[in-house]
Amino acid sequence: MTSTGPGHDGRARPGIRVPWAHSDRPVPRIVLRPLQAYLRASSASAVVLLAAVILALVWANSPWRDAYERLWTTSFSVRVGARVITEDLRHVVTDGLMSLFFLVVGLEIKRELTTGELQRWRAASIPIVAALGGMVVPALIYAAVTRGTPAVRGWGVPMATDIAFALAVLTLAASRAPTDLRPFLLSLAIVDDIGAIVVIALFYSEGIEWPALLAVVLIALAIVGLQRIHVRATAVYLVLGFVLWFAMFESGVHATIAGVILGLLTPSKPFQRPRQVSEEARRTADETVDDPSPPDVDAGSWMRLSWLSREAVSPLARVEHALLPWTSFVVLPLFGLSNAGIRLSASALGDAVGSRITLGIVLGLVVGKLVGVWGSASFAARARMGSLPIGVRGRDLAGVGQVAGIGFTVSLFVAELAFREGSPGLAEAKIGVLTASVLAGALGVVVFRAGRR
Amino acid sequence: MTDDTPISLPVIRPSWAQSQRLVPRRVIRPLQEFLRASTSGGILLVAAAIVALVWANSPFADGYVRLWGTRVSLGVGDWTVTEILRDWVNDGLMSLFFLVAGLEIKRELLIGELSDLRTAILPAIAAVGGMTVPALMYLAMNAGGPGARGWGIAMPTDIAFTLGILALAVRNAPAGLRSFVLTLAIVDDILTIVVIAAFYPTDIRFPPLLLAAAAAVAMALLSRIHVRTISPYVVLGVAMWLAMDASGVEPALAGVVVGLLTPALPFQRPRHVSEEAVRVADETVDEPDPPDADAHWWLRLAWLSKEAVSPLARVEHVLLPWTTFAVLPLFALANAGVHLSSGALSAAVHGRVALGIAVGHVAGKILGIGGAVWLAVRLGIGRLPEGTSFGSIFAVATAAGVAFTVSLFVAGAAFVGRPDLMEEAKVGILLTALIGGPAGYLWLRLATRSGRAIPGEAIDAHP
Repeated sequence: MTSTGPGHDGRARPGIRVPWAHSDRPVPRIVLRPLQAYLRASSASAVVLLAAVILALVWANSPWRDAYERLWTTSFSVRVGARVITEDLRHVVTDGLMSLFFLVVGLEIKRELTTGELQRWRAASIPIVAALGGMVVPALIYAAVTRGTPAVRGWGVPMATDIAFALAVLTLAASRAPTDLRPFLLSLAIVDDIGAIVVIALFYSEGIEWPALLAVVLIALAIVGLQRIHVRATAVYLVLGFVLWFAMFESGVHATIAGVILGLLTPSKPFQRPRQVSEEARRTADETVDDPSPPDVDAGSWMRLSWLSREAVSPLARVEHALLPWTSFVVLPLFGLSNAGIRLSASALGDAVGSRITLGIVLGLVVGKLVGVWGSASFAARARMGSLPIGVRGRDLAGVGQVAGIGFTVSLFVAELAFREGSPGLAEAKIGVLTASVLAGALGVVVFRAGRR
Repeated sequence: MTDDTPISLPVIRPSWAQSQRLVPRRVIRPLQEFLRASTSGGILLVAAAIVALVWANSPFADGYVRLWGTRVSLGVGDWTVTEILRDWVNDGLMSLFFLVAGLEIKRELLIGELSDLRTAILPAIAAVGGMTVPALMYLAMNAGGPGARGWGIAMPTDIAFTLGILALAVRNAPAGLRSFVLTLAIVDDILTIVVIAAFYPTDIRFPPLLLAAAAAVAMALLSRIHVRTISPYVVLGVAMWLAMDASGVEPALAGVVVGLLTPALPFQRPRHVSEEAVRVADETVDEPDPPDADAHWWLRLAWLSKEAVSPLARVEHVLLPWTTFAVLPLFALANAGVHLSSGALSAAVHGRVALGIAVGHVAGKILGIGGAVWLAVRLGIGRLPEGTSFGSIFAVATAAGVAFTVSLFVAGAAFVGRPDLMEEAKVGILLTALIGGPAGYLWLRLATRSGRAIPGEAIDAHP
């Protein structure tokens, strides 16, 4: 999609033949390249996701709403002898494809922990405290609103922050905000993700099958062992990763956690020293000829150079490079399309207005996040637990807290786990998440704009 | 399997398989050397066939039948594909084998022996002779019988076996002989593919066939406008396979079509990639900060150096180890397990299918290939390749008498719904291996005995 093609750096190089997508034909020139340029912009993924959500809402409330339900309940099955696995399309997306999204999340967590902000305690302590505050306060608010009802089970819903949306609002609304605010929000959101993952794994898993979970642990250990002895073939890890996912699926812990584990297990250092690969590149350039006879007599040298250049890049960066376009522009929009289609009939809306679930989620995300993040970050800064990024003031923290209330993707995800499929509770929760996300986003813009004037 | 990095360069960090650890040193590297030898594919194939035979006649025979008869199905909504495990191997995995066959045909036609009529004529005539004579002999023995439909089983040569026997029997086979066998086998492949496609479909349905053709046209168009990402081609290839499966034509043949459509020229001029390689070497640093700051440079170079190799060579490089060491052995394991009860054996001996295959294939190949070459040379249509004699040609023709992979494949297509005839055909095919293998080996040793001392020189032993 946004692959590193031969024309990737945008400059035409003498003699390099560009592929179709980079050529001057009408479709690439008029449609594809503007699209690609747009997709490279940081807010594009949020806009595509938003479009998918709006499409889902319109579709589910249009005359074609039956087709919406029919499409997402289409069953996919794999049958081997007497064993059958059947999932409907919606679960193929939430259990299967979303594992790729969580794999990328795992990669980002690993990068932050090994080379990013979270590596240094002074820089990391405040985002960590802020994220914790931003999880505990909304959960408490929700629990207080729904106490004594079975709906209290949904306390994990308002805990989450949607990284893509939060960053997009920050980028759009606070163009003059301190530059260090962005990594601050990113660290906060990543800690938030870790929290959500732990909550999903611990509290929203049903009927744990211990043998399957043991298998997960053993496969993870096998992966670590294979990496230790420098096994690098992608096929090996692909197979093991798939088996790990399947074991997780069978264990009762949510299958997407497998993606996080695989992301965390991906090495963050390249296998080869760049200098050595540079030497090899020069050597290959010297030793190959332009018109080999028979053709492809140099194939071995070129394939070797291709292999080595890939190994000059860390597996973490390579996997992210390969997956990110897919998760941003295929997986997440599909998730939004399949899960946001709520029927907004007058009665459903009426139910939601009076619902404690909806109220708890809206209050938790819009107010709880703001209070939790702002309050705990200010407290931590006062208590000198760490240092705030240069130029970041209290108002910026308030803005961050407000946009952190866009719980969207992960909130919807937790709602799916917390409430039964097709139950009124789930619809109320989804309406709550959508309302709260819109409100938090809009208020976030207001806070940032006001704070800077 | 794809990592060919030699271990002689200490600066490059070896992967596990290339390291000095115990398992790679004692197990993996000897294994890799074995896998690189030209005979190993054939040896593994024989081993898999023997395992299948022993298994199917052991106390665990039930397990063999049950395993390969397991129904595996994929379903989306109301639409399902259901096949037994054996057919997933025969129709599904074998597509990859046929894809590699398609790549080899394309290479031979464009730059190999077959691109030049003078070098192509003799092996081509030999291949035609080596196919018609066995088919005619089979038909003569089965005319009017229920097995007449199986004439195509006696036709194909098993290239892996023939080359394996040649390599085992003659240490340094003359290049002329080797390329004669290779070219013959390629023509043999082409004709067999035509026969499978033309004579063994089960009630053709044209709308899906049209869809398959549309997928092929779409592939050709995409490569015309320089779409080079692999994913659209994979999607179109799978679609073509599904359409062929629905049309009644052997779906594995989709692989041949994809192979023939694979470009044989690299996308980039090597000189320009060399320039870029030097540029990337100049622009990158050894310890970038943040790490992976140079990632886009390296990924770009990885991409460009891949594009300095033709897609044909790349696809073959990736698939060949899998087809040789996974697909073909699995195919043999799934198909060679004949239950040799006394009843089945007597049926095979008295029935004319097994006899037709065994006699037709072994004798027919010798007569057909040897006779055609003899005639062609006598008539002045072609000349014997350098380093060969009529003796070595007849010896190679005997080795070509081993019918295995493709014959089993044709038998599956010819005797759909006739498991009894299928069993007979399998006995016949196994018989060709028992007769043709040792006979070809011995004859090759005898025919080339004097030639072994001076490799590549003319061989003078006449029969």
